[in-house]
Amino acid sequence: MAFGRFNSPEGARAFALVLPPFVYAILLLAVPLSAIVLFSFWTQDFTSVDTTFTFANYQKIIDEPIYGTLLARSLKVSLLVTAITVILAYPVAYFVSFYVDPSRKSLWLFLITIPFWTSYLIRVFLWKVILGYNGVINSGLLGLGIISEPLQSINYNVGAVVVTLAHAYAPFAILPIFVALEKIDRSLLEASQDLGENRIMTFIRVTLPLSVPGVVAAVLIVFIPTIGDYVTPELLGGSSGKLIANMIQTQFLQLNNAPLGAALALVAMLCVATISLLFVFLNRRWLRGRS
Amino acid sequence: MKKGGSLRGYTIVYLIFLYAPIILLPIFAFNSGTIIAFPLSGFSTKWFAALHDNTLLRTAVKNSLTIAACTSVFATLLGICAARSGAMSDFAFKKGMIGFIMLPLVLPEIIIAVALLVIFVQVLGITPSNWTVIAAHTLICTPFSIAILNGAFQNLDPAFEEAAMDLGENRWGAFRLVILPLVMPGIISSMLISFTISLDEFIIAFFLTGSNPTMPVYIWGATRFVDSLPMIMALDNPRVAVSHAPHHCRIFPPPRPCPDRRQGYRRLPVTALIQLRGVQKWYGDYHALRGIDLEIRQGEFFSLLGPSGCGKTTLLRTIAGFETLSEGTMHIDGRDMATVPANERPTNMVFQSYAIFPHLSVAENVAFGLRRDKSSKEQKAKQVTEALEMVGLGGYGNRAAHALSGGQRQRVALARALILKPKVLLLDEPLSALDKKMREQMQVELIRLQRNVGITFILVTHDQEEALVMSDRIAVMFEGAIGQMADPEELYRRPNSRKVAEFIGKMNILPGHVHSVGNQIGVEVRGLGKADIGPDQAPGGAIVGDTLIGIRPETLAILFPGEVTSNRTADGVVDEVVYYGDMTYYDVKLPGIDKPLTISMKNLIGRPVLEVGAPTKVIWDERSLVVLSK
Repeated sequence: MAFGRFNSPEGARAFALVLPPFVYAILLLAVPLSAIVLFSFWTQDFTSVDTTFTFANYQKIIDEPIYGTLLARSLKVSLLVTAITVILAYPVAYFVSFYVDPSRKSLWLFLITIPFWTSYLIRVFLWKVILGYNGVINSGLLGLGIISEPLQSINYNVGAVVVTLAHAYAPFAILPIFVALEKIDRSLLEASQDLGENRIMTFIRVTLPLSVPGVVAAVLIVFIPTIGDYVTPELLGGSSGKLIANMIQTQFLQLNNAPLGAALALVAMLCVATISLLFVFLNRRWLRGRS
Repeated sequence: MKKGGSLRGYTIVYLIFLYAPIILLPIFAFNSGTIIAFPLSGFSTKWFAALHDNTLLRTAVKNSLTIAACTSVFATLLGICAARSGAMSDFAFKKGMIGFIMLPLVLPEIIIAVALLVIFVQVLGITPSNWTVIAAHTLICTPFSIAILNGAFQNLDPAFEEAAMDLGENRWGAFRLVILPLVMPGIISSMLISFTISLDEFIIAFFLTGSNPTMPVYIWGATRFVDSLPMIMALDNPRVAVSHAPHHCRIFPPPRPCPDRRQGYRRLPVTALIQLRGVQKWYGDYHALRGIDLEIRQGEFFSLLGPSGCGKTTLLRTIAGFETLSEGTMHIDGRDMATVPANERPTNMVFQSYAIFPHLSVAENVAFGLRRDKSSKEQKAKQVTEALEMVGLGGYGNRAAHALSGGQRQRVALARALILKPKVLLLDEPLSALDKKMREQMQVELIRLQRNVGITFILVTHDQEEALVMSDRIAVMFEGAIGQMADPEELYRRPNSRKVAEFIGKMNILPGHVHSVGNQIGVEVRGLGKADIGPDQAPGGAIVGDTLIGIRPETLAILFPGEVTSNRTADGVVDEVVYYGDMTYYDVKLPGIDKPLTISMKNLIGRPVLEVGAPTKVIWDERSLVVLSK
């Protein structure tokens, strides 16, 4: 009866197979997300949760400027990190795809990913070692006599956060762009040159447009996690570099205000979803316009 | 070779940027000072010793490894389910369901962390433990597992599973013996990726970890106590080295050797007889087979010929048992096949892609269907050797399947099917992947092989020449129905309709008229004249009225200067000359018809090639006329 809806017995088998992971996702994703939606309309009453329905948390987020500031800064930092990471990564992916001998491509990709086999926390902390007050750069420059006292402009600010995150997400940007570039049929480039375009115009008119899916994937892969990261801002951001994720973490684990934390998390998620969908939508439209 | 000078320089600078922090790891791990800053205070291994003595850290490492191991297993199992389902046929909402499972990929981890914290701790009152972290990590690793396995499952030729079932395995056997080994690289990388993601995950673990922290949570704590930091750096050094080791292990075992003994192939008894009655096949609204009635005789070489999309492959797959009948019945050897699955039918198939299992050697491929056989290992090895001998691949048993040429793969596919002594061998366009020379050679070999083993062969092809050369009988199919079924000569000489006539060979089609129908049929062919023809020259039937008349180009001739004929002739003018070396094709325009008549002439000694515009006489014979139904 339930199987009557499927065109074939194979369809029914496919349904039975997809069921376990789907039920798991319902139980551990849909249900918890619904729970925080519910929590965001409740309030914390010292040690217990007051379950009267209210917009108080959202009102608080709008009224108190700290939340808006953190959210705006988070979006700004994430977008900046995304742009820098992707722009820095593109030429590397291009080089490996177009100029490296096919038998050595995997070696280059391997070289690129090796640094990321160390712990993420350690990598972030190492940037603190490099950029810190007594860090590698400052002590190096002091030792060489170029500066007389440690530079403070390179540590504990948004810039330090951006550099660290751009480093942390480098391979996630390189790999999707590389894959998109690899998929491009090389005869298309020859066709373009055959039709009179030089190498640069071929890149602009053929290679770049065809690699856009990879660039969009890279943008999403970098943008989404950076908004939820509280490690880097905590270690390198100083007081001016704290982001929205730090506030969510503080609300949940230190101030024990789960409802306000839930509301903040939902607002942050909404921002991420809106911007991500915008990217996906632009990509779709743009691709449709081409085909 | 292009060098890309400035890009190479840029990439190297970029790599330095990537490696810069990592280089500091060993420096501070071996530095004796507590403070992580320059200048260095001296070489020491004390931090490695401190690692060993730290029980809390040891617990953390143990926790992390446990969590990562469980996560990699759970996420990969769920990933296999979803990816396998994704590669199978669609049902409503499948894309949506899989899309939902992939959702954690686009959610910032902190959202998942707080959502799970709320549901576990605040709602369900569960105390955080390793299990809460495993549950969360399985959720975020499953999408990665699916993404990796999707490629593996989708690149899998469906013919592999069908080939396994065709060779007697049931669905589980096909999964275990063929699909699982072929997607094993995907499964291993899925487990590795899940393991490393889980091992390094901090954001969620920090929210959900129990009283004993995981390694990243411990490291986070340690970043607050400056004096334990060099120790952490010492911890991470071996991790870098170890985490890459699994990438270099071999995934496919080398082909096992197989004894090689040369002996002749035993003749097989032939008893099969296939009967199809009123067979219909619908795919949703698409009517793929529209009432097929067919009888295939024992020991016959039968071909299904038709343009692509005519349903010939569907019909073959129906006989093999890969497609179910929407309507109608099918009997093989007197047994109703309605409830008999592919792996239990007395049929075996040579797939278009050959479906040679890439993870098995030649001998293992050929022996695949013998697994359920009771005979001894030696007996099976002997059979394999014989089968390989039979297809001319004696001594190739130990070769890896991927090292074979197209013609050799085809022979392996034949041996693999014939070793099971099927009643019917089904061949799905077996020669289409070969070059012309190889194809002609294989045609002859297939005919010889079929005569030797005496098994009924059913060949699907779109190549009319192939069908004419090889078959005892041919069924020509158009749009899901059989247009004509006859032996090659009859099919060529007496096509029953315009479609068949045009599909097979070249045919001049002239407007004509049927005057009378009786023992003789009286026809008039426009441009040529009147004639009486036998009823066999109207295989599609004839009724009085306008019709179409077909004449093959080689049954017409041109009267060259100096030649005489007692046959009938018609006057015309040469319109086009195409010279082929052994033949010349003339298009001759006749008064009263628009389309010129094509005539092929052998270039005999002393015969000139006529020029365009030359007036000429066309010789024709009423015995070569055929009345075509429209």
